[in-house]
Amino acid sequence: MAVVEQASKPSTVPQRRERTPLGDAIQQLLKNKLAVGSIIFITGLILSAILAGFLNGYFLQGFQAELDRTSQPAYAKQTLQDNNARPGEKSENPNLQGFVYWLGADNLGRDLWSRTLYGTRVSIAVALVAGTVSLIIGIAYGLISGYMGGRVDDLMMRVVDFLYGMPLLIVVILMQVYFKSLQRRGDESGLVNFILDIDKSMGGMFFIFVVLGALSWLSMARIARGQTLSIKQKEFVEAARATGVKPPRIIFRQILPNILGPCIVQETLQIPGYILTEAFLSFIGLGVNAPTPSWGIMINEAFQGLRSSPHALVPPAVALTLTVLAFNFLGDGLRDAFDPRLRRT
Amino acid sequence: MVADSNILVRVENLKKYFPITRGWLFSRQVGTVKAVDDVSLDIRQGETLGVVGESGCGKSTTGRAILQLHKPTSWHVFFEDVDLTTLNAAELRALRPKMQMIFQDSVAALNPRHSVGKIIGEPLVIHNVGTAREVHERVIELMEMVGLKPAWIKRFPHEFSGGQRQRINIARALALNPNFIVCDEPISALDVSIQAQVVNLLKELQKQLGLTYLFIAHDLSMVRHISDRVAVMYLGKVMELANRNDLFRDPLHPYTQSLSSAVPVPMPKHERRRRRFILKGDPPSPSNPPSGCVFHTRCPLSVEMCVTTVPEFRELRPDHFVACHLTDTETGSKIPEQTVLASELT
Repeated sequence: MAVVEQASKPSTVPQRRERTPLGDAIQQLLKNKLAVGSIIFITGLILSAILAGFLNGYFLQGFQAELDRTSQPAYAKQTLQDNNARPGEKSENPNLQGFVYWLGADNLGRDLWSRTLYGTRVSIAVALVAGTVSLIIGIAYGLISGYMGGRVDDLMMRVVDFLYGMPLLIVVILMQVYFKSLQRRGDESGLVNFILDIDKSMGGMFFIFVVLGALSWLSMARIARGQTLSIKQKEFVEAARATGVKPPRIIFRQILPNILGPCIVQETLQIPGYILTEAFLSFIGLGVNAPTPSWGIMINEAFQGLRSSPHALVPPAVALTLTVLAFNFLGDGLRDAFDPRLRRT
Repeated sequence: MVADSNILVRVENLKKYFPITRGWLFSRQVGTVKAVDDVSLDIRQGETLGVVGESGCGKSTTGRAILQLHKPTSWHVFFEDVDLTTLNAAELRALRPKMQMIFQDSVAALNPRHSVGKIIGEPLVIHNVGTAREVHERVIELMEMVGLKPAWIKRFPHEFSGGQRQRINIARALALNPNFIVCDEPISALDVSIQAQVVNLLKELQKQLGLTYLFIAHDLSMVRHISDRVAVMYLGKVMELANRNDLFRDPLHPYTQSLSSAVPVPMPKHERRRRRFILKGDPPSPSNPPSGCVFHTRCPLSVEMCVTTVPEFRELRPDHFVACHLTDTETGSKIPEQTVLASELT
C-alpha cells in the first residue's frame, strides 16, 4: 500500500485499478489465446447467422435479382445443370452466367457456401434456445432444490433422475410420428394444427427445441444444486441469516452470484452437445424439414452421394467440427478463468 | 437462577440434538448426537462471557443456538426478558439487529463477490436504515471504527489479509448497533500478533459501545485476557462457570484443572515447575455419551457415584458454578500434586 501511495499524486485516495472478481476472470480469459480465438470465431458465427441474407453467394456475386425472380431463397436455389458442381466451378445456367460455386454445389445444384451459411442459423438457434432454457430452468430448479434441502431436495432430484432415465430420442420420434400421422389422416384438432403450424414456420425445428429443452436443464440443475449445497454451508450465508435477511434475498444476492461462474462454464461445455444432437436428429431425418439447411441434413445428403461428389461433405462437416471445438475451447478457457485455484490473488 | 435486571441473555436448559438418520425414502432415526445437552447460562449486560472447551464440545452450537441459527431441540432463551422461543420469524427478524455474530473463518464469512462497502452495508439495507447516502456514510464510519481505511470501500475480500478481513466481519456485526455479539472463535484462524490486535479492538469497542460478548475460544490465555467470566464446556455440558480469576486460580472441576494446567507459562523458571495433568484418551462420542457425569471416563478421581448419577450444576461458592460430585466429598475435587508432572512426560 505504502508504495502505491508514494507513487500516486499527493492526493488522499491512491489511484488504483478496480479489481472485481469478474474483472479478474475476464482478464485471465483474455490471456488464453485459444479462448480468444474461439470468442472471435463464435462472434463471426453469430454474425453470419444474422447476416446470412447478405453473405450468401448469390447476393455477394450480384445475383439477388435472379433469386427474387424465381422467388427461391439462396439456400434452396436449385440449378439442375450444376448438380455436383466442383468447388470453384462456374454455373452452366444461362440465368446465372458468371456465378461461381465457391464450395461447389450439392446433388440438386444448390450452392454449398450459401447452404452452410444458412445452416449456421439452425445451430446458433439451437445453442441459444437450449442454452437459455437450460440456464434459467436448470439454475432456478437447482437453487431451490439445494437451498430447501431435505425432503423437497430428495423429491426434486428424483424427478430429475426420472427424466434423465427417459429415452428422449424415442419420445421425440414418437411425437413426430404421432403428429405427422394425425396430419396425414386429416383429423387434426386445433392444438395439433397449432403445433404443426409452429413446427412448419420454424422449418421443423420445433420438435428439436422440445427435446433439447426437456433434456438440457437436467444436468444444469444437478450442478446448480451441488454448488448451492456447498455455498449454503458458507458462513457468509449464515451471517446474512443472522442479520435477518429473508430466504429469497439470500438465494439471489448471496448464493446465485457465487454459483453463476461454474454454471456458465458448464453451459458453454454443454452447447456442443446440443449442436451435435440437432445435427444427429437432422442426419437421421428427424430434424429440420427438407429445404431448410442444417449441417446435419447436409452431411446426410452428402453422405448419400459420397462416391460421386465427396466435396459436398466438407463444408458442413468442417463447420460443425470447428463450431463444436470453439465452444469447447471457450468452455475450457472460462473454467480456467473462473477457477479460483488457478487464479493469482 | 435469580431474575436480575442486569442480565441481558438468559439461557435455560438449552438442548440441541442432531438426529442420525439412515435411508432417504423411509428414513428412520438411528441415534442422536447430543451436541448441547442441558446448558444454562446467563450473560450480564456489558460483560464478556468466555466459553472454552475441546473441539466438538458444543461451544459453537451453543452460540449459534442462542442466535437461533440452529433451531434448538428444547430451550428457553431470554433476550432482554423476551423469550426468543415464542417469537415468529418476523418478530425474530425485528430483534436480529440487537444480536450479531462474528465468525471464525474470515474467508468463508465474507461473500467473495461483494465489495467491502456492500458487505458492511448489507445489514443496513436489509433493515432500511436511511438512504443510500446515509448507508455509505455509516459504512465509512464503521470502517474507521474498526481500523480500516475508507478508501478500501470498493475492494473485495480476497484483497485483504486475515486480520483485515476479521475487521470487516466486526464492522458488519456492528453495523446495526447490537447489544450482544457472539464471537465464534474470532481469532483462532489468525497469526498470534494479529490475534492481539483483534482482541484489543474487540475490547476497545466493548468499552466504547457497551457491548456484551459471548466469546467462544479454545485458547485459554486469550480467554483469560478478554473474559470477565468463563464457562468450561465438555461434551455438550457446562462443567464450571465462574469469574475469570476464580476459575483460573482456583479451578474446582477436575476438567478445568487439567485444562488450565495445559497453559504454558511464558517464564522458563515457572514453566519448568509447571504441573500438568494429562487426561487419558479422547472425549467420548456425543452420540453415545457416558452415563452419570460425562467426564467420568477420563477423570483421574472418578468414583462410583460419578458413573451412576448426573452431577447437578450448582452454585458452590458465590458466583462459582460447578458440576462435580467430588466437591462435596472429603477428598475434594483437587487432582493430587503427584499425579503427573510435566518433567515425567518427555
